[in-house]
Amino acid sequence: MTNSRKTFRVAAAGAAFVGVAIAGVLAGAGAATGTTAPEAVPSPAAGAPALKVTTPKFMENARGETYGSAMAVVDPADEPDLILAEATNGKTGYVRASELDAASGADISAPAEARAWTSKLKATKSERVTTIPVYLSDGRTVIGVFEITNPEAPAEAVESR
Amino acid sequence: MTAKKDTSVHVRRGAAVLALMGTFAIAYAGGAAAATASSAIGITSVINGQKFENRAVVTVNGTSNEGYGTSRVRGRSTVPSGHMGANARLYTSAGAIVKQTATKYTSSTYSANSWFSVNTATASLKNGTAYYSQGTTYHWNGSSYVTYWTLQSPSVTS
Repeated sequence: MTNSRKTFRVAAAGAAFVGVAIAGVLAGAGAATGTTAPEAVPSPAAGAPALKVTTPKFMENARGETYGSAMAVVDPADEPDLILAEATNGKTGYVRASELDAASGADISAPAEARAWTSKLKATKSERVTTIPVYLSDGRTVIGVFEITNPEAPAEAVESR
Repeated sequence: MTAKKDTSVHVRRGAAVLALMGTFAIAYAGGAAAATASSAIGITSVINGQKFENRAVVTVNGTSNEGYGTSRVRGRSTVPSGHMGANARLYTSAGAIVKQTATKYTSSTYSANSWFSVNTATASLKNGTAYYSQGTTYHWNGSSYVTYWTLQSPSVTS
């Protein structure tokens, strides 16, 4: 992840922020009047003023990789290179974002590929799709594995229609 | 499937911060055993002619100390096969990912306003630790997938 991606302008965030603030006010009013606050966060209107959003500052290891939690990241593109995660052995470390994307099918690039990927998940009866390493913050030392689970596994697949 | 995300094309508009202020509901079922908390509904911009809605849900069973996260997304119009997808994550309140699903895409035409849901596997939870959920949704815009985060669900303590 390059530093140039650390700070970006997102008109949406600003407008959505205003939208939620309004919703909060409405919620307060609703408590007094008996009305119900809107649940949805509206998309920004076109041409809304841009708000400068600064992403979290992450630590960097000796290899120049950023590491930290994805919790405070506003934009998925700004996740650190190494994301805080728990290994199956209970140890806390970091998974590499690129490995997580590749293992989870997040880098699918076309609907035909998406259909093939989902068919493969359906054909896989196991709850576990694959595992990826969990590292220390150095990005080298492996302390465990992280499981990518299968949402199409019989016990877990749920589509609420 | 080796292509890396094209970050110049993908639009990402996470709204984690908004979850702190979003409308949410916590429902208890079966006495105090199971708690479910939902984020507010997020709405995308227009993608391929329609807007989408998404949300995250966390479910914790305090009796069995188990829980899972759910990511939901729906289109306001019919969604063609392969044009919409989602994955889900379950986090500790400290921000560590506990569970993540593979990304699941629509494998057939999906009806308008029908939730497409993805659940993480059930995790064994630590007593007294709070957990929340957040997911990513994917929307085909005709040339690439536009990616959105759901809002974060409220945290629920095991």
